[in-house]
Amino acid sequence: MHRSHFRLMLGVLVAVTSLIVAGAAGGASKKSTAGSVTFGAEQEPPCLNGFTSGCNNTWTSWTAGIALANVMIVKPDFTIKPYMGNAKVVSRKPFTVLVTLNKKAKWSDGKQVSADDLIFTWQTIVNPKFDLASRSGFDSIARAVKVNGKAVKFIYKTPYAPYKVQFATYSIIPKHALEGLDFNTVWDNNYNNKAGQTMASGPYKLQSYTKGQSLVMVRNSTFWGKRPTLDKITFVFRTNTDTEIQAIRGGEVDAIYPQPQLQLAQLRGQSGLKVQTNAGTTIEHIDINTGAGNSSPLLGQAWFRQAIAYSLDRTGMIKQLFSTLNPGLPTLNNLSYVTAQKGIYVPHFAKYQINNKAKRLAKVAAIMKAHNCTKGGDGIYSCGGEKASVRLGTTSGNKLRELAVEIMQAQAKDAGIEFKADSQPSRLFFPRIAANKYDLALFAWVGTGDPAGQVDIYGCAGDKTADNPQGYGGSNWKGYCKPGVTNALKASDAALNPKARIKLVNKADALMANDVPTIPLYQKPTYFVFKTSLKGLVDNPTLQGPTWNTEGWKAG
Amino acid sequence: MTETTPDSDVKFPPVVGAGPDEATISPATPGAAVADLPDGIDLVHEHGLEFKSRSQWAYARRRFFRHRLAMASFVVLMIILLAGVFAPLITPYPFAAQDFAHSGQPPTFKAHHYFGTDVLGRDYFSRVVYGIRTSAKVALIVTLVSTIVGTIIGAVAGYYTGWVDNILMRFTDLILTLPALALLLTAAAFLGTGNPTRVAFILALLFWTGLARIVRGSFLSLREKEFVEAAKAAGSGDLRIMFRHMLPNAVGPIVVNATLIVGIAILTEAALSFLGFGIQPPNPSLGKLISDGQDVSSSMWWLVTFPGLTIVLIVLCINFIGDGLRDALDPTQRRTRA
Amino acid sequence: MVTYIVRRLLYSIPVLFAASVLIFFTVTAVGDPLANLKQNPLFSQQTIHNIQERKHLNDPLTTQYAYWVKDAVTNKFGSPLLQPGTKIWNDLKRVIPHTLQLVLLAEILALIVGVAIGVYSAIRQYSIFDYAATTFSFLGFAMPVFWLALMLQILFTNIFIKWHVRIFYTSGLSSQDPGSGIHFWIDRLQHLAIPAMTLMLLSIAQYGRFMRASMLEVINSDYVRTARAKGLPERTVTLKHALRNALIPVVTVSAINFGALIGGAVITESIFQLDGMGPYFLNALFNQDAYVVMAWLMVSATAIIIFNVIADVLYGYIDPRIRYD
Repeated sequence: MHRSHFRLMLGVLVAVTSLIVAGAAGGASKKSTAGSVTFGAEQEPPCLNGFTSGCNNTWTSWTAGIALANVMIVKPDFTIKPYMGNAKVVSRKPFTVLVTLNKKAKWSDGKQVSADDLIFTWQTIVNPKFDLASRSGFDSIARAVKVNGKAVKFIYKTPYAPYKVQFATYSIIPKHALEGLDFNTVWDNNYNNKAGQTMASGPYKLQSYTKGQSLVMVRNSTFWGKRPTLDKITFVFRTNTDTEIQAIRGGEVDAIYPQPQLQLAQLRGQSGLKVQTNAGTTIEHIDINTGAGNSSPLLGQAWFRQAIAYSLDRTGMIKQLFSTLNPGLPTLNNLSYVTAQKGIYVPHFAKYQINNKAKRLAKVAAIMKAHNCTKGGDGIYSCGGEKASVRLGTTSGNKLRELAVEIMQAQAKDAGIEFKADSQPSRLFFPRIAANKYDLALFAWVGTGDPAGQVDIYGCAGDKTADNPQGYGGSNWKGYCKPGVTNALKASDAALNPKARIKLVNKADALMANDVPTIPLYQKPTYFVFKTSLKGLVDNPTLQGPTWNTEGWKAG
Repeated sequence: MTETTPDSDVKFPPVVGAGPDEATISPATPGAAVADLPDGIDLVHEHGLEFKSRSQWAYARRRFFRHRLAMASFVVLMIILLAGVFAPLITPYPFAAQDFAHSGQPPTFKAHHYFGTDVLGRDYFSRVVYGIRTSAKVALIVTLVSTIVGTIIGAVAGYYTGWVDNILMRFTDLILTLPALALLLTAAAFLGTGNPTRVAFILALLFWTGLARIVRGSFLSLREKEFVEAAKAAGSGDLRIMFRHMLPNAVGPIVVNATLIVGIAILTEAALSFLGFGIQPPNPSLGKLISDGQDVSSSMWWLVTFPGLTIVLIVLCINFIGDGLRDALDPTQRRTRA
Repeated sequence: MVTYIVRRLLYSIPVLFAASVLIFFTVTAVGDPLANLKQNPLFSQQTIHNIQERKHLNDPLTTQYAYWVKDAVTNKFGSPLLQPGTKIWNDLKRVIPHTLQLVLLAEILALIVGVAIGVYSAIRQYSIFDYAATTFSFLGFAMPVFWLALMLQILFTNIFIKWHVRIFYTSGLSSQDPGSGIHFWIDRLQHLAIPAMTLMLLSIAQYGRFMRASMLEVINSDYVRTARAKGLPERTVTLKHALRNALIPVVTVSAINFGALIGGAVITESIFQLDGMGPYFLNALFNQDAYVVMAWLMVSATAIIIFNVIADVLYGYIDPRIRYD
């Protein structure tokens, strides 16, 4: 071999070896130091001000949002408990909520978290100049009365039953740091006050944020609660499921909280890793377009929608999809409450689940016969000249949903109803639904376990305008309007007695179980994977997410 | 955001240097060092220089059939394509028949699940065969359309040169400047998806550019050659010169690039399916099968391997055929070993 | 030569301009940038109204195009649709170098390996090596990127699990505390190695084929035959005369590739979580942020134009037959 070739190859060999040596040496010293956790975050917050529409993302609150504490907190069992304070109803007429703050609650720059901050938070949220994602609850407040440095009475315009959810969802922001600033542009990639110090009322404060790479939270020594054990929590962004799996296997991250995907099943039983799964509060369901814009008038008939519901073996489908990921994931049979809410959840839709295939097909056949439908040569019914053929679409690219569509296509076909697949990527899918251009749509509502605002989805209590003569709720794209349902849901938002409220919501749900404007499927399972050496990590399937209790986390 | 991790770095069809003959001299038929005797020498009429001349295409055909690798590839490709055409006859199961009791099985001879079953228990051999059908259709349309468009544009640019060339090449540049994937997504959003033919046409809009440059390069050098001058002197019109005289000499690079396009077309269709712009379920295409099987590829390796191998096989065969074709069609090729 | 370069550059300006028009009108034609927002319950009427004001969405398209160009040139491409506090160019400035690092690494390595394979295939034409190299080329060409990426990630993770030595990282751009200077770059290399390997495979296949073709053409050419006839040793003939000339088309192709990869390594960058042009674009698409998409397309287009000019200049320099008159 030529001498120059030798030299070249030798050079390459030396380079590679030195890289390996450097890497091995580096790898050894870069072990997670006791007291720090590296968490693989599946999405990067678009920006850090979670209040604004543009930055509103669950991962914003699950990562940087740890720094901003809320008055109440939703526990994994869906109960809402006091956290940085408490919210109590002190008067029904006018509806008044007394919000008190923990005496020890203070900001990381030393100032107390005070009543002024509470009032400032309210004023900021209802300020129309700011492009905020949501104002629910706060826009019902008529005025605020400062009781003392740590308590405020909020007087509402109308009774607002989900007030606890309100104070569990919105963080409290510091007046002295944000007063006078443009809330639309402030706190984009840091939580600094006017002096450049990072602000925090939660157990950890934001130390640094490298866009596209990582977000580092360090212990907030001024935290009012139990002293946080960890020094540091580093969130690194890993959006690809396979990459997350290899990263946690290889120890490049210590914990992940991925969306359910089939390949995650391989992490169960992996030594050194623990898997916690629960049924979450994201409700996967099928919306049915009962009004204008659908392709078959049959969809406007309740009996036909019932036939569709009977033709589906939802339990069988869920079993096939999730047996490896979350065995035992229950079928959801209520549109407003989740299965874990004992005593509250009533499975009104359970009647549509017939496990035995023969009985299932017989039931659909009976319904079809009763309405003079006949089966065509291809096995699909025709009713008065209308073929029982509708479009079923979902967000393409989401594997589990696509598989669900294929399963349901086969099930419906057996029963004599044709589902034509009509999926689009989400950016095209959702506008079409909003424009009522669909038949059956499979997607999910992100919920909290509290049915606040359901009237928007199932009712027609909105203002009747030229665009919207029926007054459909803002998220009611089904053309569904039943006064019984609308009134019950609207009343529930004002029902202060929790028992009365539950009764009203379930009353609406029972009515909808007969009308079938929507078919509930399942709650999307949560999937929390972390190293067994980490203690104190508990999955919270509500909107609070896995970082709801970081003050109790211990490493090693 | 795990649902939108798309597939496949889409690359443009490689632009072979825009110079004279893209020279991928392929293996000549071994043992053929001796030049052929023109057929039809009638040894009986052996007076004088009488012999029956054959057309160029006949020589080309014979040279192609001598090329063993190309012929073998041709046979393999035909088998694959015919399997796709006669899918209903050879598949043991309908491609949409679900069977939860037998889902996720590796390949076996039992119950005729030669390629195993997928997550919903559907027979994978059947799905792959139907997938060949869809992918072949898409690839064929893409290749035909882009080859024709690219050849015409390149020929016109290379023949006329001057401002015609300038404008056409700047327009080509314009298309080239826009990243394929981005354009695909925007176009797909605009024109709608789900229909394989539509998808094919969208793809074809992008792939003609490489070919145009190559053909232009070929024509630029060919127009200086003597036979073109001769044809002009003989009074042939421009179109006739371009397509009757020059094009056959440029066929080599065109064929090679066309074969490359087929491979890229199939892969890009896979990328589109991955992104959700592809074929609607439950219809399979090779690309959709790969993207669907990707999630469980570490536990159910057969879901990605079989459609993947099929694509590789198709691409390999087409390329060897391309080699053989170019070999056969290049009139200046010396069938000697280097 | 200089006039050729200048002329070539000047021709690019109208192309750039035309690209901007094409980009703007295509993206806006796809639909109202606010369509998705209007039906998203998180966006109030007021918010939508504010965005319309900010982005002049009620003006005619040509006016909007003018505002966009003005923003692009004077205001760092303006701000994204939903985050008025940031500027698009600042984000682009951040992601472009990351992509450049990856592409540079991948392409240089691919060139070295591809050229070596191509040369050897050409010298030993029809040998087992030649056929094997061709097959390998097509395998590399047809292999889905995500699959190769996953296999490599699994490989290096398993090496770590078994032998506790971390050679390369399977995701991310840098470790938490990468240090500075040489330590930073070694750490970066360790993170970019696997993604580069993934990208390389496609390019090696391509360069191998081209090099082989180019080499074969050169080997059979007159001047090489002359060199041989002069009695020069085969090695000198190959490496000094043939190789140099055979390299040119490959180099020009790689220049074009480089430009294309700036916007084309989308999947690799997403899988490996490299904060580059790819994921930035995907995010913008996902969020339907028309302004980020347009800015990104312009940057990508500019990169491609620049590298096409470089490629043309290189080729024009070497092969005088191809220059414009």
